[in-house]
Amino acid sequence: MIAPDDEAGIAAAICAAVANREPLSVEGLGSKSGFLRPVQTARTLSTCNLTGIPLYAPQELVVSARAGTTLATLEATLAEAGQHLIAEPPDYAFLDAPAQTIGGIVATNLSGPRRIAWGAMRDHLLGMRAVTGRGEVIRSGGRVLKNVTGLDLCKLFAGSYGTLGVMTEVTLKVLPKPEATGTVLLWGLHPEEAVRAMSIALGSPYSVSGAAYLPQEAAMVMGYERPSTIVRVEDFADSVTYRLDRLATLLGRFGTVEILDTAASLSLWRAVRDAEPLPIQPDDAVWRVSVRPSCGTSVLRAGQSAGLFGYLDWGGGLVFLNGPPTGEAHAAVVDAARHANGAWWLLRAPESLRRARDAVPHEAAALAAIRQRVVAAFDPAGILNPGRMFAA
Amino acid sequence: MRVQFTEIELEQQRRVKSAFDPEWLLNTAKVFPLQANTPSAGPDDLPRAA
Repeated sequence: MIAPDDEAGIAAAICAAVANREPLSVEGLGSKSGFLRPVQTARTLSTCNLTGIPLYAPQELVVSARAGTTLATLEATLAEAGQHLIAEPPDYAFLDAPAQTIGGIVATNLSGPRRIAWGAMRDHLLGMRAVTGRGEVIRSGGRVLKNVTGLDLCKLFAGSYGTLGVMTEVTLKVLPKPEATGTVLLWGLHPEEAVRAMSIALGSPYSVSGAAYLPQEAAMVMGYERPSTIVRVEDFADSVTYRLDRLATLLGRFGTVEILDTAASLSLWRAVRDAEPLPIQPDDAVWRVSVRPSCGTSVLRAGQSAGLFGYLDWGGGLVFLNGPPTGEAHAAVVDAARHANGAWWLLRAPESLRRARDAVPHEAAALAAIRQRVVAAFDPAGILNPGRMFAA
Repeated sequence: MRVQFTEIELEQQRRVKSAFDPEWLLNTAKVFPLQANTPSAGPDDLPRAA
């Protein structure tokens, strides 16, 4: 494990790896090493010693953090000024490490329930510094939203899983935490009814910032007795009260409506964010599928038919599934996602499955060609996380 | 652009442009200035400006 404490050290390590033709696994604290495909390299390059927050200007709504800064540290710093990360990045309960780095969050473009209303991590990445697979330091973007000079390489690096370069510092837009959070809860709906209710709520003028559906088993993990459809509102307290009341009226035709206060809402949505409602067993595989909200139920039902459990976030557009890590279950998820024209990620599985099967959707030939050229533009020797996303 | 970016950064951006548009057919000089005294922004197999 190589864990330099500055950017120059990262660059030196990559230059040495290029010279020796010795591929590197790239990670922060390794919490997401179980995502996608396993990387087999003799050495690992970690950003975990690149810590610190060189810039935080609350009045400008911008923060810069070195890549190895933990999510908890960054969130605590923002909380001191009453602010937070807009995309609500998750801290999945099934991760195999106690902490995540902000570099890892950005590199995997992980976003939580608020994404449907406020955008993904990628959308709030204003700028970055990185060392490419050529060992060269590059900067892209800046500290403001409207940065128009040159190509926006940040958009490529968010979600690139360390296959283009090693981010050393990220600059993010942040926002004030809402004063209050409230939830409208509907009991006992079928998945299709739930998506209809969530669509009505999301299409209403009441600025819903979360919409999720927990089927029976997921609801029971959360201590509820019946399937639960939940809709979130975040804002100033008076506005939240008013909007919850209007949403309750709007959704009344779907049955009895319950309202959750700020404390109950915060803990419930944190659980939804962190995939806690999955009734997960130690050896289970976990899939995350992103589709049009109208297709979420078909993916959920296909998973259930294959013996999997799951729930819906993003108004039906994000499906979490867990269950036995069999080839049949994997094929069922892949087929359902392909049928829905969606994207998916294998987030946890035994190495045998991760090695034998795709971990992200199969690419069309034209897209694969562009992706390979983009990777070659940053990492021509293929030394950064080889095989992480696609089999070589 | 050469005030804001180093030559290394510009070259990296040109490589990305080449990945999507290998022949540099689309809006060739829109993002990258093609001045006579700067290296050609084209792919390696095209002639470079003096």
